[in-house]
Amino acid sequence: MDSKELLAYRKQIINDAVRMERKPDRTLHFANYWTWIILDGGYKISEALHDWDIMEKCVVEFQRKYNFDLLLNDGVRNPVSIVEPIGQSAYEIDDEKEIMNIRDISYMKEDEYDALLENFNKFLWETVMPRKYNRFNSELTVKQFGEVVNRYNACLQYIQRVGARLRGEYGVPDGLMTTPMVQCGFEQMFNFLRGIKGVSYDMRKNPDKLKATCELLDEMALSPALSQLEKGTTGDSTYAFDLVFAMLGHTILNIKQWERFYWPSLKKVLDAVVAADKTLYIFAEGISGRFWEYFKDYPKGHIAIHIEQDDVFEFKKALPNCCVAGGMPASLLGGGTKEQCVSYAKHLIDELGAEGFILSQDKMISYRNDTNPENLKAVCDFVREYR
Amino acid sequence: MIDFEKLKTAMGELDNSTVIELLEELMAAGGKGADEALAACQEGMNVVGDLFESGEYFVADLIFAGELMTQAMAIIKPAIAVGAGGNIGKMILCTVQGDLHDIGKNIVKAMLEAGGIEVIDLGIDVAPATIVQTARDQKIKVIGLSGVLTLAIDSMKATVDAFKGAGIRDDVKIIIGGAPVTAEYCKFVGADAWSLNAAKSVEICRNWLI
Repeated sequence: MDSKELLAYRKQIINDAVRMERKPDRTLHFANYWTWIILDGGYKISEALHDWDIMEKCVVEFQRKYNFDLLLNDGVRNPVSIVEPIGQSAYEIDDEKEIMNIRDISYMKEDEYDALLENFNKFLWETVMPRKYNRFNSELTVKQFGEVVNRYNACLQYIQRVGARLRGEYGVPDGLMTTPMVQCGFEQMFNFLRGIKGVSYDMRKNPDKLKATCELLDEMALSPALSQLEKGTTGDSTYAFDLVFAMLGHTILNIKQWERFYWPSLKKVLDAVVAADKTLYIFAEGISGRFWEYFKDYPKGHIAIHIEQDDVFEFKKALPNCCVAGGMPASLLGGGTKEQCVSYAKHLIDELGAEGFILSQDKMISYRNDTNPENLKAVCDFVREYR
Repeated sequence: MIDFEKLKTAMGELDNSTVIELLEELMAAGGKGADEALAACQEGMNVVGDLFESGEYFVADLIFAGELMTQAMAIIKPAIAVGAGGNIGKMILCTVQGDLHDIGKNIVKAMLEAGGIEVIDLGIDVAPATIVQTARDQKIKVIGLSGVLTLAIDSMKATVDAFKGAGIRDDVKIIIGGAPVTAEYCKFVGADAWSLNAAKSVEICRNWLI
């Protein structure tokens, strides 16, 4: 197959795996690889995050070597260089130890809900931005801000370029990071404004205002995206899925909190996807099994969920209506032998098949020892050939 | 004298305003009964642990409980007698080298302290040599290593190896915990136990110390 045929083939088997209307030709293999791609490419993390040409080399070389069906990460996560002209405090990169950490920082104080609810844009630009970016203040020059815009444009150009190469040279649909993505209000509070600790306190001490804020943020960000979905304007042919949703905040929630702060938003997304007959890829970080029952009544063929620490076999029993991605342990890829890795991949495919199952890694592979490259190559070669 | 049963219930229900109100009332009256108040708070934290085990509470509740316990301790500390709180021993707790995450560590710390264990918190991104040196200097027999990143596994192994290198591995018990930890990784690291939840960690450490 040439790359054009391969692209069409991959999109077809992705569609078959998710829609579950006919058996895919083989089991899919998605790459849940992140900064590991940079290290495997022979570069330092900070080098690739500050040079889109290096990132492009790493991502394209990764695909050439391992030949996945789709990359969750095509190099655009953590674009730290864009905002550096206005200051940056959340990321900590240590190239010597090959580590990147993102600090849990609360950019909004617990007594600032009224200000946010009164005028979100004013609050964002006048309160949050100066806290998040330490040079975003009255001394900021137009030239400095212009540099941020230039760097943002360079990032957009990179996305175009790397996507075109992955499609054109390797027949891979666009990665999930560059597929249309929605985020609910709680996620924005959890990830950006209040942080993990902040929302944990607010759910107990300030639940009504947190709820009102989640609804406001949903109205501002979620509703327009879902409206586009219903109109059918989303779903560019370069994408394998119509929409992506990152579930991160659920990792701290009890059932009552989930039902109050999270599920109403996610339900809107699921309902809109099904109503528009589209497909959704949910990346569910950590453990999500206690929420599976909320997905069980949705019709087959619309939802794919990438799980991490949950048992992939239990998932299939609980949610036969959903496609599941995951299953391949990072502990095995990093510490096992080639034979052990291939044997486990075979076990997963034999048990779960190709319809409604996508083989992928059970953790976001970020650090060098998370995977032995030889193990990965062996698994990738096996999955492509095994029927 | 305040109602200690009410205090215990309020702590278990994470009713922060009642907990703070009762403790401030106790201190305003001269601090008499602070030891009993501490015990009630610890019992309340046991309830929190039980509710986590049963699935009613989850991580956000433990984060809040840890903060509430810290606030409670700060209020009554001046009136607590030395040795109160049923202290059963000391242990080291830290996030291992290369990992800056402290939320899980802090949850476990609060639960351990509520369980009567004095915790030497070495913080985050802690080098193996620092942990070994502290254990040696303070004659600590129980070590808790926390981490969120998968690379923490390597740091945990390096820490266990550092204890071996120092010739004191058999003198200590080591428990590892955090998102990437599994039974397989526990074996790889060479730790004595592993846990993904705070209540189980407390149980294991208490058994080692008693």
